[in-house]
Amino acid sequence: MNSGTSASDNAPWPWRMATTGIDYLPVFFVFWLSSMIFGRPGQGMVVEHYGDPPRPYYVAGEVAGSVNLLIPIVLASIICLVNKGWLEGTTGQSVGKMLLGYRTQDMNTGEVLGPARASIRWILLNIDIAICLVGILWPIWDLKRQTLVSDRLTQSVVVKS
Amino acid sequence: MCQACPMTTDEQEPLENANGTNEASEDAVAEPVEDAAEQAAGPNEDPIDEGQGESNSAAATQTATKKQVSSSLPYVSWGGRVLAYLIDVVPVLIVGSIANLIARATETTSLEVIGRNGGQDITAEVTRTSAAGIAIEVLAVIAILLYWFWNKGYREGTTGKSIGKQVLGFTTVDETTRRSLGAKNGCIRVLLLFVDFFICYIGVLWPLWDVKKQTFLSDRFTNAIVLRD
Repeated sequence: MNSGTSASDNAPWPWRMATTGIDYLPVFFVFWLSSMIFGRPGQGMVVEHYGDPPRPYYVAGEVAGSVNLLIPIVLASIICLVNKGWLEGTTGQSVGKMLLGYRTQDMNTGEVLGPARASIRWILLNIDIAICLVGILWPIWDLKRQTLVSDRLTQSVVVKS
Repeated sequence: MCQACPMTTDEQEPLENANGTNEASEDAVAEPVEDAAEQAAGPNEDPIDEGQGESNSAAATQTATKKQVSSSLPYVSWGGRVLAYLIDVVPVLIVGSIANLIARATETTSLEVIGRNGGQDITAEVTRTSAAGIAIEVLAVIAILLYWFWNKGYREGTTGKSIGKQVLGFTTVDETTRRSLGAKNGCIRVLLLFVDFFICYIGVLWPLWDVKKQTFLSDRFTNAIVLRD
């Protein structure tokens, strides 16, 4: 792993994955929790009323109760933006990076990214994940250990703090 | 099992540094490791080594010992670790099942309008978990998480033994210091084990082929090894 390249200070891929994983654990938890509370999942049978007075008849087709995931998605995004946007942008460390001792910085200047750039970096991270995980596997073979979309476009690297 | 001797010295006072910081435990532990080094490397020691400066030879023996000992330590196999994990999981299953049964029992079914078709309401008989049921499930999950971090984070971090490991006689120690990990590293290890599960179980299957029987993220990052008592 430490092949003596210029990027040997950059965080190896397993620990990148570990920090990201830790960052996403509370997101999954809150998403699950809030979809329990606000999503109101339910299931049932369609009923139609016929006759006078109307009486219920069950007709074919089970319907899933309406699942409203708007609030869970908003909450999850807020957590990510606070943690990976604001916190990682201003201090260089999200919660996961704080625990494992890594920081994100500009690949040229070594400065922290700032909240705006870090937020964009998180949005792009979702693209990295969406392209069949190729983007987040990229640091395995990348010389600067950058992810394909998010790190490269925001010109950022993750180093040991 | 002569190489296991350092473990016996450790066991006499396993709790000494339980609540200490990492730096403190490193200082305190330097000695037993060096003792181990002398014991293990004793017969094979080169006379040249003795002529060298004290710090140099100490460091050299230490590295040599680490290599010698690490292959022969009583590492717990993957199966053993799964067993310990299953014992740890028992309270989770009990609490979770009870909460789920309560939630199921308090489900409510009512007629709801789910849409309109040509001026007529389409109604459906919809079964929903009641608010009380949801609350109980959420409380159960929070209780489970607290238990999990207490058991596998704090308890295993400070004493080296979660409940399951205590039952089966395993101890989690730092590979270099041979002392417990400390509460903070224990909790980091818990978080990383979740991630180990999340990456398609590769991380938790890692001990199957790993020389030191470590999980991919959680054990390797916290430098933890699990040994038979």
